[in-house]
Amino acid sequence: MSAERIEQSKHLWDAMDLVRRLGNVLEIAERAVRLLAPSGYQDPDDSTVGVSAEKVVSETVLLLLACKSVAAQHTDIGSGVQQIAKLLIPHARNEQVIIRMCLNPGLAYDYAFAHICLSCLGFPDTQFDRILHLCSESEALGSRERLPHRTLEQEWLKRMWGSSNTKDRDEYWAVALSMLNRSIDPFTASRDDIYAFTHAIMYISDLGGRTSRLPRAKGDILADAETALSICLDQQDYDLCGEILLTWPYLGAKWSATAAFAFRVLMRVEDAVGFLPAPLTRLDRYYELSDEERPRYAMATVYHTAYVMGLLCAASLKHDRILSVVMPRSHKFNRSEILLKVIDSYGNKPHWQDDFMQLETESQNALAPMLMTIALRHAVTGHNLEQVRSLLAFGIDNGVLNYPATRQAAGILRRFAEVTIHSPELAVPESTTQRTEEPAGTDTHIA
Amino acid sequence: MGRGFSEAERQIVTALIESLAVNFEALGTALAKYGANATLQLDGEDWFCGTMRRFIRVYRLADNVLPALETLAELRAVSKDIQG
Repeated sequence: MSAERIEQSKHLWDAMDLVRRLGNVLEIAERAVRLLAPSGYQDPDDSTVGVSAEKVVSETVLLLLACKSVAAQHTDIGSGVQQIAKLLIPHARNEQVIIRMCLNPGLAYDYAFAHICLSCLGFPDTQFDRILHLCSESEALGSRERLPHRTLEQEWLKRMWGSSNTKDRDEYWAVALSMLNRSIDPFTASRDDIYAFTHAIMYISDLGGRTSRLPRAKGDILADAETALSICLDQQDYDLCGEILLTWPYLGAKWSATAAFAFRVLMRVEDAVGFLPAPLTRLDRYYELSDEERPRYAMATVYHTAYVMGLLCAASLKHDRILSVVMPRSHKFNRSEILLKVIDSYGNKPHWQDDFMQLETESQNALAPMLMTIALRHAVTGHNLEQVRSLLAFGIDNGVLNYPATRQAAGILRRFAEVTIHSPELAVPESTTQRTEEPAGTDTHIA
Repeated sequence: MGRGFSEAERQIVTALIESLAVNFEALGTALAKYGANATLQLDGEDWFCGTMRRFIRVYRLADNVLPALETLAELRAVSKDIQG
């Protein structure tokens, strides 16, 4: 077997492994419903840690819906989905939900979220449908001003329930206003910006079941997804990493090197912990709690990110993206160690670096865009403009240039060049304007 | 939807009031001096109107930085609670 063949088979993702991971997530989901669906969770000593019962029910039923096609092919997954769906019914359709819908028809589809998803899973309820139909006729139905991705969620729910008659016009306006039609700022993007991006993709694609009209070139959207993914991977924000990774299967795209690598990191982290973790889980708080309190705290802080891994596995299985997941190689760029050196100079050592070191050199080199994005993010947020300049010069010399982070970093330099004309005291020292082979260290700062 | 104080928030607000860090007299004087005119000109209604009861707010600014993820090996202890 050739060296390249060995490399490929080592990184081939096994469909049964994805099914196993999905099965584990469904086990977590069943326990989450039992622990949290009755009344949610609120940490008595920390108002920022908590989850509502409605959120748990909605996210669980969304997970089940994402598993629908996989469930048809794998008996274990199918029986798990059926079992959890039955557990959810009394939480999704009860007197309280109906009263809220009747009193506030502007939120009717929000309240009926779980009902609609359960109907799609084969658990209809005609009485509940009749009430939702009455609510949908109310003139107050559209009384809420929503963010674009939340408007897309409404349109998606209407499609799922079979009541959409807008001929895609409303949806397209919302898509045009959403993050799908905007560049992500690699240096200042908030988690909410990225959530808006990932959720818009979920809804317009019907969780990957539909090809819809995009507001700009798919390649540009994927480039932004890759930028956000690089940043989140470096921040060990695996919740967002998983959601961003859905972009590839949901848009029917071939995995990029960065996406394939990030998925691999998430799998390794999940294997190490037993679930995909999030920073919300604080061990000091966990150990403060009694044995009786710990399971609900743990589940409330863990379930969402664990579900994201389930969505990702289900999407990968559904869209048959498994065999194409081989770490690509690059023979053009061969200086990844230089970018890694810059990243290392900032001190922290996120998990992805261990996985990176396991790769062969050609696969490491294929991750040059990810390394450049992370290095530039450190340089910009560290106010090290000289390092930004050096990194861009390095990118020009080595063909790592036309990416969102490099373009936007160049824009920062252009703006500061203009500023220094009027405020010379802000000028970058002359000695640092010479081109260096390696990006400069962290000793030159602005501000 | 509003929510009540957490214990930590209550302690902060109590300390600010008791230490006189917020000078209510000075704030009242400023509002008395400028408030009526600003209200009549409709350029201050977002912060000063008859129905607005909160004239002073203490904000905790979001730093857009996530807390560090706990060590993976230590997080494994939590898995027994979520997998049953």
